[in-house]
Amino acid sequence: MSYVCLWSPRWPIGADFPADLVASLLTHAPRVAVGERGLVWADARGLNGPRLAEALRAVAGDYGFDDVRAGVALTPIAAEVAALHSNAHANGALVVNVKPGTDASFIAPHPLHVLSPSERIAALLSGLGIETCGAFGSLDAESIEVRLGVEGVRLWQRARAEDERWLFAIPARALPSASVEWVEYGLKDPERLVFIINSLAATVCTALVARGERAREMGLVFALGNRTQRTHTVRSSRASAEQKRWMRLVREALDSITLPDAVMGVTLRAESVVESHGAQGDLFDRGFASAVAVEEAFIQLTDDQGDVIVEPENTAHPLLESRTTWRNAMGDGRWTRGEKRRVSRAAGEKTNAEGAEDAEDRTTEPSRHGDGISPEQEINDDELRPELRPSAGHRLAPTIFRPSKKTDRPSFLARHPTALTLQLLPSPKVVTVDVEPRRDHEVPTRYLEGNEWHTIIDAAGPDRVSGGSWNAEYSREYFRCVREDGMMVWLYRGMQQSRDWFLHGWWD
Amino acid sequence: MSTSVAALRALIQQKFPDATPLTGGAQTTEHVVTGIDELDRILPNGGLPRGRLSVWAPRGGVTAILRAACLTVAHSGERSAWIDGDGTMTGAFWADGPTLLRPTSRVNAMRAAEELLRSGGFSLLILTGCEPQGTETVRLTRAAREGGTALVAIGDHSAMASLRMTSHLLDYHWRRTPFGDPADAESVTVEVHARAVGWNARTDFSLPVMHHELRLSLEPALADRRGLPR
Repeated sequence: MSYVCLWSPRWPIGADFPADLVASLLTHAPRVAVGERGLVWADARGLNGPRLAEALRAVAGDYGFDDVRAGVALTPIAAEVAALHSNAHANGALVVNVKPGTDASFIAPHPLHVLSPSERIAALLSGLGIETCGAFGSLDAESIEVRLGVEGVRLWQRARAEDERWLFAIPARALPSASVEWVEYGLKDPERLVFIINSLAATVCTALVARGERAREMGLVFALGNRTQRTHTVRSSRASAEQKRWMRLVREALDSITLPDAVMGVTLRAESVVESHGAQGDLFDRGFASAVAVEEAFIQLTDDQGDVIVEPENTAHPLLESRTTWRNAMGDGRWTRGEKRRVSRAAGEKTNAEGAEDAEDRTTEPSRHGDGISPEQEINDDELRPELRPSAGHRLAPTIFRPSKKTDRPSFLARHPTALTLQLLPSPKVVTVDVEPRRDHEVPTRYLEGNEWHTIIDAAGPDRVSGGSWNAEYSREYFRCVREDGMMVWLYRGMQQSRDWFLHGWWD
Repeated sequence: MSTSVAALRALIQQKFPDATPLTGGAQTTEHVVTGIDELDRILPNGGLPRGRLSVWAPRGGVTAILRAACLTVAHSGERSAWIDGDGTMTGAFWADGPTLLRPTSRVNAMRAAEELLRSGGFSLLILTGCEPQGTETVRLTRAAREGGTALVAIGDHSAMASLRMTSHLLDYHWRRTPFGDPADAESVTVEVHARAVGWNARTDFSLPVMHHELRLSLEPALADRRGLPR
């Protein structure tokens, strides 16, 4: 931070200072403030101070103030002394630049009155024989505090060029924030910290609600006792202005944070916000009234457990366990669209909506076979029972990879929602199997799972699948077997080196 | 006995003169129909009870029946959810409609179930692969009552359950190969047994069996002998 202080003995002070001059000065400096005694301050942070001072003087000269003096320094007091009391002005220099790091030594030879002490302090110091800023600044802080009090300490700090005045008004933050600081003690108790943050969250969330906004993420800034700051960003899966939800997320964040020192201040600020907007209600949707509660529950689950609400994305991989990728159903607002789709289906619009979608799919994606089989038929082909498939002459063989988005429509299941379907074990389980010959192949007759033998009364197969020679080779013989208790299980035998038997799933 | 009932009725009329008695088995809430008429016919009040825990023993057919119930609920404009606690649900056979959750642990499954039940936005919640036990059952039952959700847990622990169901797969109808071997199971007969307090009923009905395409052969009725070393 560096400051430019401007002063002219001729320009008006206080409220009479010309506002248009300030506006003109702002074309060169990012921040300008009119202070006491006709001092005008400009923020030179990140700028070339002397050059800025010359530019500002030129602007003042356009308004008829040719005798403006300027001081440039890293501290306000040094800039002020440079502008008002520097001996260089007597030599004709109107801009005095105090080199960085020399503020205290620049002030030191000046008499004490450049610090504008009160009459009482000035009389006391004069009685003690202290005449210059350097002499005053060389005293120790404790003796100044004991003898001259708080006012004396502040004057002593200015004499040492330790001036931390806030000259410029802090611009109002665009997004809601709240902060609290304390100096008497350092806070190390997490419960009290949560208590404080809860209060800040109430302020921020109230401001968000008043603005009609919801926050996507909040910044949590800790001012620490070692004069450093730690910032943590807390994100919600859905934008929210609820204090309860943000406090839950903050608590989770605090569980994983280790601060190196005691906390001396906390700031909670909204980092990004979105506008609040409600969904259009549907009188015919029985679930609309509870939609908000469901969304809340989904958000909480997603925040707690990650991608727990899923939907399948299927391919036509020859191995069933490799066909499905579970993706988050909440991502990018897709849950809302899914909900709408379900609502439409409930209202009897399924036929029109999905029919139109299917028609669009058929028209936009050309058939890959040229034999009249549409992609839609090709999808069903994978999932239909044999008698429902197109005739054998129209079928694709062998099974190939097909576009994933086309193959995850269980049209057969839609027509027969109560059909028994295959349930897969998370990973195939090794079992011991007894077999018997059936013409030119072998079929299982019983298998041992755990400590229990299961007798097989019917077995269909083998259904053989092999491939993956380019990455992970597989070769299996599958059997659909009905146990004596009625369960139909899915067994396979690896046809490579081990030739072990595995239990892969069951129909349920 | 009849005298004591009459005396009790007179006492109630004296205490509550303006009360209107409920008659005809009036219900305060509709039950959740499964969409399978044969099953709904034998269930108390024609469906799964809302706000109550039902336990279904996993003996076969339960997934198909409960998935049908979930789809029926979704088609009626209400919500249903399926918590797949052990990750056995096959993606290729999952239909749009119910909300599917795949928690990473048993504890997370219980938390998810409680959260959804308490939200009050679901008519039917199916919990599979992680059977609640002890205090978990108490908590989930309480949450189901608060949210008015019909909670169905697949398992054998029927404590606190207001409805206990069992299903068995009986007879498969096979399509045979020219040699008389089983080729494809086309349908299966399911027997369902429902028990509640003062209630004991059973029914059976036929369900189709769904297969996926795995074979390399063009003719499904014949054993596939291609592509593998013998």
